[in-house]
Amino acid sequence: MKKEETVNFFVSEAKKDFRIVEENLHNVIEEVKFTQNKGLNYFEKFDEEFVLNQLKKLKENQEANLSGKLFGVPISVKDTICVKGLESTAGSKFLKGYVPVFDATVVSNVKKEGGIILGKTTQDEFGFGTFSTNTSRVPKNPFDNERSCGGSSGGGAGFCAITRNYHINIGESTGGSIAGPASFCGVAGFTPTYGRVSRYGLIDYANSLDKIGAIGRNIEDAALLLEVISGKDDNDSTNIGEKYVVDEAPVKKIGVIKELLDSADPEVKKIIQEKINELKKFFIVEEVSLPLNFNYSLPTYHIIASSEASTNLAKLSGLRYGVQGSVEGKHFDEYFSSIRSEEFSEEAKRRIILGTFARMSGFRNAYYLKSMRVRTKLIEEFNNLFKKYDLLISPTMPIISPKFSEISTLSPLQNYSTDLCTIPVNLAGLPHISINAGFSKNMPVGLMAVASHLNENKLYSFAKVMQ
Amino acid sequence: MCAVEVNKDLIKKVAANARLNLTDEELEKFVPQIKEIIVESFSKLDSIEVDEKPSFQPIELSNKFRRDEVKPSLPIEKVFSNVSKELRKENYFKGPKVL
Amino acid sequence: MTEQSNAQLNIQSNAQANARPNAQSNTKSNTQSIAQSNVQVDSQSKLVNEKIMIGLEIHAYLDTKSKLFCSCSTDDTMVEPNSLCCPVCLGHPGSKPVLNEKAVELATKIGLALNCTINKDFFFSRKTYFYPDMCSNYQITQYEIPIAEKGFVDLSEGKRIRIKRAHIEWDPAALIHPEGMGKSNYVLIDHNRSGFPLIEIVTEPDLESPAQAREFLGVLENILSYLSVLKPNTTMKADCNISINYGNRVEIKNVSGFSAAEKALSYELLRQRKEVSLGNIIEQQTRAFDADLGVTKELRKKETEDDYGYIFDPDLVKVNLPEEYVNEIKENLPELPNQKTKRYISEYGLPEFDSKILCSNFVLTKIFDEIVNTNKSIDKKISARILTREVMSVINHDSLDLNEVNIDPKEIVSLVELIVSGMVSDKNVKQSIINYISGDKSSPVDYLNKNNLLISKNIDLGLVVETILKNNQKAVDDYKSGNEKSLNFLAGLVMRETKGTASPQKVQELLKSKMN
Ligand SMILES: [Mg+2]
Ligand SMILES: [Zn+2]
Repeated sequence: MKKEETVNFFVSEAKKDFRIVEENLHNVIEEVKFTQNKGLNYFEKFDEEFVLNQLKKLKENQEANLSGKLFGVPISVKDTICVKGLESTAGSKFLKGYVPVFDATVVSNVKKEGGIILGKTTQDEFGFGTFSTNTSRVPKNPFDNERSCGGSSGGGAGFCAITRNYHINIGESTGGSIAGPASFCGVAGFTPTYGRVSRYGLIDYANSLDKIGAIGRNIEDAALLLEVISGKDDNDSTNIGEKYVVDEAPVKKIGVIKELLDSADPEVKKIIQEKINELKKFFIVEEVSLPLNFNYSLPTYHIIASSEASTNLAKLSGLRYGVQGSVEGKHFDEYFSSIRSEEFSEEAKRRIILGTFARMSGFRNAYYLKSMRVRTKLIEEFNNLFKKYDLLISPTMPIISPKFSEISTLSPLQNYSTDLCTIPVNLAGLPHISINAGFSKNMPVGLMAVASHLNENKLYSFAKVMQ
Repeated sequence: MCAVEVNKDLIKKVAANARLNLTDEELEKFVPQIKEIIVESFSKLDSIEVDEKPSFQPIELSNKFRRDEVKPSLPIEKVFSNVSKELRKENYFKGPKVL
Repeated sequence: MTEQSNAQLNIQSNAQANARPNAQSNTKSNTQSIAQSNVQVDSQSKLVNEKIMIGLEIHAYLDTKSKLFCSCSTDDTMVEPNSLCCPVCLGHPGSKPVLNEKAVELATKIGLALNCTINKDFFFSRKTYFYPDMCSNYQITQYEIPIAEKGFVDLSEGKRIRIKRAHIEWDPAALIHPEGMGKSNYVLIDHNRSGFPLIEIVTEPDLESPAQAREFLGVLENILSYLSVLKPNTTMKADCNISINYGNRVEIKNVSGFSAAEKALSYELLRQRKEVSLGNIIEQQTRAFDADLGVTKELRKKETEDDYGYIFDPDLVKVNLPEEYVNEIKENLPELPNQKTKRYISEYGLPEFDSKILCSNFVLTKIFDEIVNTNKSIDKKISARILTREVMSVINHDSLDLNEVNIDPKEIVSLVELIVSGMVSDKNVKQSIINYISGDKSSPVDYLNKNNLLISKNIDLGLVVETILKNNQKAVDDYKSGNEKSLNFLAGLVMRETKGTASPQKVQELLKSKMN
């Protein structure tokens, strides 16, 4: 990685000459408009005036912002994260028109460091998906527009891959929604430890799994943004209060997760295997096994995720915000049922039904409560390996990005199963990255590295070697 | 073990509880899909023994409190900034009737 | 009418009968609707071999400055609707709850005062149900592990009511039905109280009559008043569960106030008896109490317990109360009604009856304690009697709220000092209190002075007595030969001479001692 390609370099130059900020931002705006016009759909809506107003303000207050780590850097934000005054729909038509009255903590952190909020990037509705196809604005892979950007943070990863300018994206991962699209788009995705970054202002998918993180053209950019958005926040009870500070950390021993490598497509496996062979020059690399996670993480994840999601989505009932109908003369059951049936997509309905089922009395013990207990066991399995290994690695996705025509033939279960590699680490709240490891059929292949809780810097050091 | 017969009636009941009206078409589509997920995936948990405590979050978290201090509430225009004209009456929200 | 006065009325009814035979019981509660008067239920009555089981789920507002999970104010007096709202208590997407530590502290106090075990590890759950008053369509409450469980409360006759659990939850918004509940085409929603912290106290079905349920509510409220944990000027609400002879349980939802709870249960008891006598089976159901008509009505079925789909609220984290935290609260619990009753008896020599009445009313004990603080050597028995008889009889007669009546303990002290020195008659004491509370509110002593109802300091009562005795030798002789009536005659003369200001006891005393 050339130093000149990093946002850090840009920021230090920009502080010397504001024209650099202006030029970069105007170029990025042109790119956004270009991709919007081409139907690449990386942004939900694009509000140029909203962006230019921030530029104007920053220009006027340059002096006060000179210490900002993101001085003049355009930051795009996954649609599910609230930006005050900017429509935030989490990719759902149900939230059409919802303009948050507050900024998510990550957004105010970015602003404090002189960043410029560029706009809301496209995603699967509420994060429900692996391909960003469960939404009306489907982002298209920059390497092949017939293919998916991955999901659910598809728009952000797609734009990171296509831009030739300085920009970083705030993504969000519940079961792999940062690593997955980063892998499919050949960029760096950095998902922190659960609780490291405040969720305040995040429109929840599954609260005990959701993690806001960063997607950038390189690990340095992603790490820089992660540092800015992380830290103590009294508005989020699940925030652990420990800021991530970018630094190097020694990495000696790496475990390759056998089951995940073996379940990948041969093409993907080949590229990852080649990369592993290279890595052996720098690290001790051994094969490891995670049998419990391999067998049980998928159902455990889906039960927890859909149980929590179905209560989060109970909020949406056509009152107070989002799509609203006429209530007069209608009984509440009738009103809620009709608007919810109208506005939720098919995938949201499926997950609401699954989640409502899993927590219903009669099934609650066997599914919801049991999944919480199994999660403990699955986390233990990871922790045992981390006693011996600094990092665990595997392919990020078992396949290269599929064509939209292929995705449409998958059953929901097959669809859910493509997250096989990313789900265990997300379920365990472990920090992880996806870094490009090469190309297959001209499509990027990502390698995922996982560290134990709070050891993000091992990932950073490892990624720098990878790059 | 949790024996469960996933059929139209169950899906209808669950959907009604979640305030979703499913069309016949949706029901036809969902029943086999959800059956597949529950039988092939969820029910795998039947085969694992656990005596572990539940992990409500992936890391141990406890005792997050807020001091009993008042901060300003939203100005009234912000309270209603997302509310359609039809669902606001003076400074009240309008909602569907309950009887 | 406020709940406060209701509660006192209930507790005070015996004392009141003693003190003022002319005092009627609360007029408002006697003026019931036609429907109610048709229901001739003596709430104490029980049929032979009938097993009545009543359990209550009581909701009360905790006295915090801010809401349970957000920093909005709980002071909703004189504010516009929806002016105490933020993204959290409006259920906006992206908002997150953070637990108010004060609510935990108050709930711990309550648990301890109700003799409960405090669960040091607990958490909050989402109870999902759809209703227009619930900002997120799930209530944040406690399900598996409440903060407190397995306690008890003792009633006056020694009956012990077991407390199953007490838990913390947030309150939904207020719904307004502009054309009345059944007729309105829509509801108006005010989220000001959405997110107010509630304590829900659940009893075992140990209560055996509607009257006992009412007594329990009074005793409970009194304990909570001693703890200073309740939001002022709020009413406790109860879901009342009742079954007879082990039949199905009927739940009457959301009954506001003690007397309403008693009435709702009485009506329901009668209704169930009637159903049974017709050979019908009581259905398990939820009913609502129509306070205007005094009847319960079947409610449209909402979610049953099965449908709530409780999950751990993943926006919140577990609570783990340190041992020392609970111990400290325990050590600093204020003196509770039973302890205070005993202390008044042993320390001040109050009659048990008076002590119980005093202590069953937190405001009254506060006044009493201030009286004692003002003058440590004051006559406690007379002070207690003034409060429990004279003061309460006026409060009850006029259906007043003791909280809203300003009683200055210093005024009572002055009055008691006059009584002790024999300078005022009981009748005039009574008058002065009536005037103090319900009249022009001038202090009792001023009132007695202004109306010349005190034995003037210029009058030497001994001299008056001697003069009367000298001028009525015949009556003296009659008395000496055993005619008791003569004593009354002589006393009457003294009273006339002193214009009724003298204390009749004192006069009798003096007469007797001088004639012997
Ligand atoms: Mg409750
Ligand atoms: Zn609030």
